[in-house]
Amino acid sequence: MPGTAVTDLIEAQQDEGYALVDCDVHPLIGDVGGLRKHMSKRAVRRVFGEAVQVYARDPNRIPHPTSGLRLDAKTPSGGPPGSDAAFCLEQWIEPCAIAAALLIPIQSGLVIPWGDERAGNEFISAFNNYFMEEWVGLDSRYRLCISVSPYDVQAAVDEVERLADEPGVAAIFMPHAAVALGRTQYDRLYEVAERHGLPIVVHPTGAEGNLYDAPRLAGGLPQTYPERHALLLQPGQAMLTSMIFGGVFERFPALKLVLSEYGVTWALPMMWRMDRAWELGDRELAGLTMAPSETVRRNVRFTTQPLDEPPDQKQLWEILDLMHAEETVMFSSDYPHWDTDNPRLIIRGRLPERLRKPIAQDTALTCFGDRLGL
Amino acid sequence: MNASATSAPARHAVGAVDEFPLDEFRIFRLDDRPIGVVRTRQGFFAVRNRCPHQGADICAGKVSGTMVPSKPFDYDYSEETLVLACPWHRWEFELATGKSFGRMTNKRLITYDVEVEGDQVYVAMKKGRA
Amino acid sequence: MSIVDCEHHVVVEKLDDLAPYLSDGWLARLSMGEFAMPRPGPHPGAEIEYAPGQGGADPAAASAALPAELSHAILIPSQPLVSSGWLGHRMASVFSSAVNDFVADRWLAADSRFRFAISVPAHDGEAAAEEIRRLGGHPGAAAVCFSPIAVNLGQRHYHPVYEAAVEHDLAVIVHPGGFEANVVGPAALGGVGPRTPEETFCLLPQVAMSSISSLVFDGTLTRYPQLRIAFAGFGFGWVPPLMWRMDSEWRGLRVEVPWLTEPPSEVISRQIRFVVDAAVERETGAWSLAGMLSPWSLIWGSDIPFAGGGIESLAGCGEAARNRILEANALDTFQRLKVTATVVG
Repeated sequence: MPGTAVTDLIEAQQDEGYALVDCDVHPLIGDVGGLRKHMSKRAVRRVFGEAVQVYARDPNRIPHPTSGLRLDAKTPSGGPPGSDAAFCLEQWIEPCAIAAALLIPIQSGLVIPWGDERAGNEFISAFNNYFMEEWVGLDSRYRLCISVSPYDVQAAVDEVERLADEPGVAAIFMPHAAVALGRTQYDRLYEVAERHGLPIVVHPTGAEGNLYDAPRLAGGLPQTYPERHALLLQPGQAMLTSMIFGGVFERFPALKLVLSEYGVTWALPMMWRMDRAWELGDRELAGLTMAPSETVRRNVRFTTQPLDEPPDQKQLWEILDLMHAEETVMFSSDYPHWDTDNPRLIIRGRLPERLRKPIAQDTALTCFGDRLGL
Repeated sequence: MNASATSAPARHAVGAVDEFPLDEFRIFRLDDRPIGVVRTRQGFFAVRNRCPHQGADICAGKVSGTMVPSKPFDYDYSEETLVLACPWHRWEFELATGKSFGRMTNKRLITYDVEVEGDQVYVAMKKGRA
Repeated sequence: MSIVDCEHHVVVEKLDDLAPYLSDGWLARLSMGEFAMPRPGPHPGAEIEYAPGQGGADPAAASAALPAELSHAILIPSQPLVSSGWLGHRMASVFSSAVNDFVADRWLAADSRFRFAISVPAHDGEAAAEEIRRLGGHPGAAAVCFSPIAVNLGQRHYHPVYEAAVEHDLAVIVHPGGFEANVVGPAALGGVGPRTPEETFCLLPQVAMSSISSLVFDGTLTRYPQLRIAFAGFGFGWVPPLMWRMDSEWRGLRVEVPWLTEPPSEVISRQIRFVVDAAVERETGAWSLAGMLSPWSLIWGSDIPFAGGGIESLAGCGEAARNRILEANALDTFQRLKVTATVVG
């Protein structure tokens, strides 16, 4: 049922005078097999020859003790949370008065361990078409991150060119495989992304620390869900340092990187640490024309969920201040996952007044521009 | 029935005992507040349908016993204290007291006394005490 | 006011120096073939290139250079730390033991303020525990030190280390080995490489993060409440965000870790320490984050010879905090320092 408490909260609010952009909503294909009809016989044989998992990892490997999804978000037809575009409007978009929802369909992470690139590329195109039809086609508040191949850069470029001008396409989602994103092999993708004003969005897929073909977690292997979940920032940190020190933002100064659901506050000590590394290292070799922390301000964005809850909220505010959150941070809910954040509560209850409008709206507008349709 | 002007706390009739499936909340709007009532093996409980954490409809969560403190990698599941786990972040609140199980927060889930007379169930409209 | 230096490195220059402390067989094994004394400097991204003669190998010179106010210096052998990147478990063990004996024999007599950390191999928890018990009663011992392999620190693999350390009132120091970014075996860095030195420097704290997440959520710190673990060479700015994240995880996932009956941040504040060493933490504004830690959390390390060693980097933290970092917190962490050591010359 729609959240009556959430509705009550919103009805009790006055009009804040700005729009709310939710930069992390997870649409799901309940039956991935439904993509068959969009793929060649060859690809269908390869991809659907055996049962295809809906999620990236075997649940038994590190089972969530309850559920990774909200318990109150099953669809009216009994489908998994996030699998019904109309119900998502009813349960989430409308009651929260979300003006634009960035759809990040992380199921395309399924291609990470697939050895057959051709089949993977067809799957990705079918996958993107599905969300364009079922979600973007339903409501203009839905703005899609189109998925691309993490391995075949030419295919990725072609997919971007195919869809870049479609209304409702807001960004590129790169399923993070075991490749360093700062490598020059991705330059062709970054070039086309920058040219079309499409930010690169990355987000945990569940594969990290689990699959050989995905980025590692630091140390060894975790044993429990909280142990692993607390460390999900690590592939995000690695990606950030790779792209910064790989000079990606030197070559593509207008490119935007969105680190979604990797956390926020770690960015501050990392910005400082990157500056220190730059100072200590051979600056000529590094070839950066501006300090890493300045590059982050210009090119990198973080989404709020899950927002830290320190015992003293002022400490959170201090970090947000120092990392220029008014430029770098955007609101996200992570609907319909279990550790979702309630937008109005976060914005009105956990952020200082001067950051509300930037985090709710302005930073996202600057990052995605017209592509939010606002 | 609304609260009268006298000092006696109001109570609302919420139905017959056998209208309540075990461990499933039914939601009522009482004195303009969303209140969930549930029948459990330990009797009836009533709580405000609002998680003190982020305002989720907590009554859509799960009623059960829980894991009590144990040695590392031993588990000790007990139904001595029944808890309601929020459907969002799974914070657990004791049905009887509204206290956070494990002291995740000092905020309480608002509870209400439930009275059963014969086969009829009533919610008393004053906040449950600890 | 006194200074306690919790991270003062010792370098062994030649394999010959270890000859008295190795069996004939192992000396022969290490003398033949490809084995070479590890080049010290387990600090990826360190700003100083170590060359023989630059320090760390001469006890008399190190003693003469100690500040007048210094009351204790914990000697951490540098080269055994790199053994986390070796494949031979026994070789790592034998090498560590030989260096420990070398330090106890040649360094402690040079200055009554010297104490030492017992180097142990991370590969083999039982062998490490044996070494701790062998030297744990030595009056000069103050700590245990190792660099982790790719097994997270909370796991049973390391429990013998913690048991033996707690038996002898020794705090554990965890330190990078130097190979984290690129060889299989030591604790990995997150993501995937290959990496520039700058990236490695930035990601190194992740090893400490993973260690702490494991130690807390596996209940290991709860199981050994007397255990104190100090992370040296990883900085500390990343700690408040990690504590907050771990607290949020615990609040939602307590049912999976019911042995953890308090927020992770409280366990961390009580049992984990972070060495402020000049090489690693001079980031602008780092001190604004220091205030978000428990007052007990930070301890001073000179990181000699890999850094200048001066305490200037503490200038930004205020007088009271500075004094705690320089002395009180170290004395609390390393209980053995409070016992007057009779130096065995």
